[in-house]
Amino acid sequence: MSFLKKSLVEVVKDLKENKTSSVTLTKECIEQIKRKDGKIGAILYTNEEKALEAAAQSDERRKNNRLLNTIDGVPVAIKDMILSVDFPSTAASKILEGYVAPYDATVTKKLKEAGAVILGKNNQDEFAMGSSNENSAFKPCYNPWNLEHTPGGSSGGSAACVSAAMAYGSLGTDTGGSIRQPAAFCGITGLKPTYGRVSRYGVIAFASSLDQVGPMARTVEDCAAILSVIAGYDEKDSTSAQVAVPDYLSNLKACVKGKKVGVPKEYFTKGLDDSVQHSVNNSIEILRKNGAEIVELSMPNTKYAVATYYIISAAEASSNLSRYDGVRYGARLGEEKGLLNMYEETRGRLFGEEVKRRIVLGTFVLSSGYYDAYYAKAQKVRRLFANDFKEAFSKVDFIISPTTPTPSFKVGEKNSDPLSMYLNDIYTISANLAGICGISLPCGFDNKSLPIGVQLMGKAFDEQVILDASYLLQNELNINKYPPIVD
Amino acid sequence: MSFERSDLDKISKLARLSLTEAEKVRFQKEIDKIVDFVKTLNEVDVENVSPLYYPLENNLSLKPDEPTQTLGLKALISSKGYEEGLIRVPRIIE
Repeated sequence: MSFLKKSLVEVVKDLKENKTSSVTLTKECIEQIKRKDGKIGAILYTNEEKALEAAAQSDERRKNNRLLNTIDGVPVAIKDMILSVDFPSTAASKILEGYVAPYDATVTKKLKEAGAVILGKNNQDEFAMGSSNENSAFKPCYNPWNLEHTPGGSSGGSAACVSAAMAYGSLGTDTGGSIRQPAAFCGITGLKPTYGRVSRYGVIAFASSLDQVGPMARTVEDCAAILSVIAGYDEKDSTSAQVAVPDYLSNLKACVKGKKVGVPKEYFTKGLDDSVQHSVNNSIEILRKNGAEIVELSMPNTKYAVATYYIISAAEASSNLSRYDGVRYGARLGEEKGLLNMYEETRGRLFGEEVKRRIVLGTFVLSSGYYDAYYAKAQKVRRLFANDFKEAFSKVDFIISPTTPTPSFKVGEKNSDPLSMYLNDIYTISANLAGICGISLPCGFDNKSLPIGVQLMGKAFDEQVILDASYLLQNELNINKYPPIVD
Repeated sequence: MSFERSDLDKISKLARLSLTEAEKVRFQKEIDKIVDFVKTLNEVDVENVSPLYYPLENNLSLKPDEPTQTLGLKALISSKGYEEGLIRVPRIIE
């Protein structure tokens, strides 16, 4: 019997009822990766020995009634830029080729302490810069629903891995939509927690005021289970919040009766694909039928979101990536011609194009003569986004919108024009700017059988509210499907 | 033009990035387009608005000022220039 086409919570039950073991599940996932990943490209690094060792230890704990956590024994994967001592961590970049970190990220440590089995590292856009996984320096990743299409990005590998049943969950990162957008493109569920909900210690930084680690899995219940494991204050991350972590899974309630749901009109305009609009409207109707009150909102600053985000994230990235200079870790080129040459050649030849483009943009907006016009201005506009959401959440309990303007696009379709790629993120970016939480779950398919995602956004630390509403939507929509490639 | 070749030459030097001529030609055009796009922020009235540097403004917590365990030499051994507890780099001062 195969356990591949099951959710994380379902295999937790199977493990509890002794219908399977962690070693069996792990072996099956490893086989699935070997069979399918050649075509998909979701995994960069594996460590079969370590994974089976962890699985055997879990089975031993289960035998002795000493389980660590609900997810003890479940095989999962993590995005490449999340550090682990058991695999290389390269952020899908040549500049970190072969780098093995001397410590685990806090989220990695938490997964291990919960007994989860970490199968491998997921492919991604280099340094999390991208929306299609086409910027990975090592290999492309394709959408399991249609291999000519992108899985989205930057957590494209994480999304594809879960979609193609190679793991029961993955940790992605989300700076401008990089969990939610690939989740939508690949037909799975992905949650960006509130800024500060999850520690960023040991996560390779892209934009420190925007980055968050979050769960990507088949179902809302799965994301709830993983979130409870990884969330919480960490004294090694001074931006993590001292807010108690609820048991999101046990508290899960499929109910929206009496809730007010905001529909921002600016998210439903020109550029929104018909099939996406139709599926999202259907989701709104489901909420209404289940007792929610639908409230039209206006968020007039939405049109400035992409510009604000790209100034701030590029500026922060230009600072964060200055550490990659060939000195302390990663590859090193050109040292025979002196120190300056070592810096310039290492970075010039080993960073990919999109990374270099954003470093230049970021350095420019921070440079003398331009700082006030661009960076300082963007930080003030950012305040307006936070105010808009504060105002919205005084009227509604959560907000619903499409996750992306279109379903997954074809590989190569947008990578010749960086700006058209950036405009993909229009619906997801505002949540990162304001630091609030957001989730994407599947709500339909287009006429080419490509998945469509619906997004719910909640105010800071209201993950339970959006999980509950998503749980209801998921149950009513009942579209848990696997791409044909899984079989 | 919002972003000229001279800007690119100066910025790539500051960012310690050596770019090929083909990259410079391409980047100048692409970044010029992006900078033009982000100039839409000029329309936004931010009078009396204070900047929001990061979302949890009042949350920053400090650790007690006590030594904790560090990685020690493990932090250095990944370097391509690691040698006996040190990192070798090209001469800094001529």
